[in-house]
Parts: sequence; structure tokens; C-alpha cells
Amino acid sequence: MHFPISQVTVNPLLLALVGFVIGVLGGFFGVGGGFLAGPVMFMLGVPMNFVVGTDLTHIAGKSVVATRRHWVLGHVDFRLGALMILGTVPGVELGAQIIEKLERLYAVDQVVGSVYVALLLAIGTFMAWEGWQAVRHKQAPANGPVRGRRILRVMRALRLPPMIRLPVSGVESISLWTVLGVGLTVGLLAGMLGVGGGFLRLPALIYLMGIPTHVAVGTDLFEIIFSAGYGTLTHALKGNVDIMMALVMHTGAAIGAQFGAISTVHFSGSKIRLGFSLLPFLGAGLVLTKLI
Amino acid sequence: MEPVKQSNNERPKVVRRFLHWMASQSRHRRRLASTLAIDLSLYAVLVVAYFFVVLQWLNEPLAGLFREDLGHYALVSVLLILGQGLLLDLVTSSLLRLAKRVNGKGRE
Repeated sequence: MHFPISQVTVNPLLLALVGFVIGVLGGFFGVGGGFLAGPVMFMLGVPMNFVVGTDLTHIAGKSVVATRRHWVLGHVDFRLGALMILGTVPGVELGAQIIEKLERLYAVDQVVGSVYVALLLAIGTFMAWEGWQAVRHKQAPANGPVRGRRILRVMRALRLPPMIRLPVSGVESISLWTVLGVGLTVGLLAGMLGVGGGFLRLPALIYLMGIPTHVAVGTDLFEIIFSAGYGTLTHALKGNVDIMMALVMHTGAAIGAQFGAISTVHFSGSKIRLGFSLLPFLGAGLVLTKLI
Repeated sequence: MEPVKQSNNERPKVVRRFLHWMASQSRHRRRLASTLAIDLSLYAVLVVAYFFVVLQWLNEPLAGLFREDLGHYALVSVLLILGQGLLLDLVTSSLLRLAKRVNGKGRE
């Protein structure tokens, strides 16, 4: 099928299949999946500017389906999601400004690429270790928040008012500034690395704020609706979105997201964390192939 | 002449392994797998129809809007993707309920 907006000819079945796989991953792990869909679309011959914009567009649509499914399962903390968005948006802007300054001073590709790879490997390694410990030794309740982590105790010890409750996440009392600060940091890294941030936000929700894994997945997807929706608007205004291609990918992503979201009920939080740890390694591998 | 039933040892190795894995899964998981398979089959039929009736028809008008007015194109893009998101959520949820009902009745 010919897509006149991006001037490429791609098999729509292949696009829907890619969307399906990304949808399953997104619904299960709470990530956008852009770091996988992007390289695949590029390999199918889609120009890079359209890859970025179109990918964000289909992710926005997929996240609507996945979030709704997780909401039905009681996995979405809207209050937490809204507060994280308030912190993330200025963080993303700040990250983008830092990148602009770096571009004038250093080889930004090498610096940002190396930081990206190091961060992905660190997150993947830590989550693999923690998830494996939890699965093997049953150190934490299977579907509750992770326990016994020093950094979580430190974050919870910050008692800067106002203190808020997050009943859906089972958090009795946490400083508002902790939530905003985590959102800002995630946004900063996402803005610098040019990513949606799902693979950063999920570990941050789980390990820095003690949110149960299933709620972290659902809440992360809720935030992605807004971040990817905003990305869709800005990229479409720049002429970087092939909406027809996004709609075709989304037909596969929608059913994939349902499957992924439903499947989380049949896996414990520790197993989801263990499975998720593979994604950063995959992302690091994809970035390394571009850097080398 | 009566057809000879294939014994387990005559089946290909891949099929034997799959049947063994299926038998080892809980009844609940087997039911879930068959429900999702029914769901996916029904969804595939609907999506193909949707593609030929709706999406093919939208291709040229959207390309025209892209060339002439990026502002409106951006707004239409956001509305289309979020609208399709809500529509497909409704469709997939309904199909899942239907598939559960069909799968439940098939086992009675």
C-alpha cells in the first residue's frame, strides 16, 4: 500500500503486525515501545522524521486502549499520573535545552548515546537482579510494592509538606515534592535522550516511590497518553506525522495492548519486573549498533 | 476403510511438545488462550473490513490536508488517533466478552 504523506510503500499487514507486538509489550510492561518500533519502521523504508512523529502518534492511540484496560483492572492511579505529568513536562523542556547547549560544545551524539547506553544497562541490570531475587526468594509480596530497598526508605523519609495520599497505589503518605521531583528527573532524562520515558518512569515509580508494579504499569500508560499526544501535535505541526500509517499500526496495537494488559493479571509483579529488565538491554543493543 | 488415528509418537516433534505444554497448563490458562484466539480471529475479520471500507477511503483526503493546511492536519491527526483508540477499545472489549461467552458455551 502506498502512503502518499510519507511517500513510502509498505505492506499494511506488516505494519499492523509490528503494531501488535509493540501493543503487547506496551500493555504488559507499560512502555510506549518507541525504541523498538522506531528501528523497525526505519528498516521498512520510512524516512526518519516520519518514524519519530508517526511512532509517537500510534503510541498515543495504543496507550488509550491499554490504559482503559488497566483502569478496569484497578491499575491506574490518576492522581499520581497527573502529578507526574506536572513534573515531567518542564523536565522534558529542560532536557531539550541542555541538548541544544551540548550541541554547540561537544559531540552530542557520542555523549548522549553513551549516557543512554550506560543508563539502560544500569536499569536493566538492577531490575534483573531485583526481579530474580524477588522471584527466587519471595522477598516481597508478589504483587505489592518492593520492600527493603534503602533508596525507597530514603525517599519515603523526605517529609517536606505538603504530604499527599495515593490510595490507589496504597501509599499512605508521601511528599508532593518527591512525586514532582521524580517526574522532573524522568522528564529531564527523557528530554535529553529523546525518548518517551516509559522505561525510565516505570523503574522510578517502583523503586523510588514504592508503587506496586501493576499500578506502576497502568499509571505509566496513562502518562504516555499525554506525553505522546503532545508529541503528536508538535510533530504533526512540523509535518513529521503520517497519520494513515499510524492508524494502520494502531489497528494491530489496539488488540495487542488488550492482550498485554490482560496478561498482567496472570503474572506476579516480580515476574513482570524480571521480564521488563530485558527491554533496556535490547534498547542498549540497538543504540550501540548506531554508535559503532 | 476406517481412517487410522495418529498415535502420539507419529506426530511431529513440535506438535508433541506443544500438546505436552498445553496439557501442563492449568485449565484456566488453556481457556484464556482459546478465548484470546477466538477474540483475535473475530478482530482480524473486523479490522480487514474496517481497513477496506474506512482507512483506504481516508488516504487521499488526509494527504490533501497534509499538503494544504498543517495546522488543521495536526488537529485532525490527534482527534483521529484518539478517536480510533476509543473505538477500538470498545470493539476489543466487546469482542473479548463475546469470545468468553462463545468459549464458555462451547465447553458445556
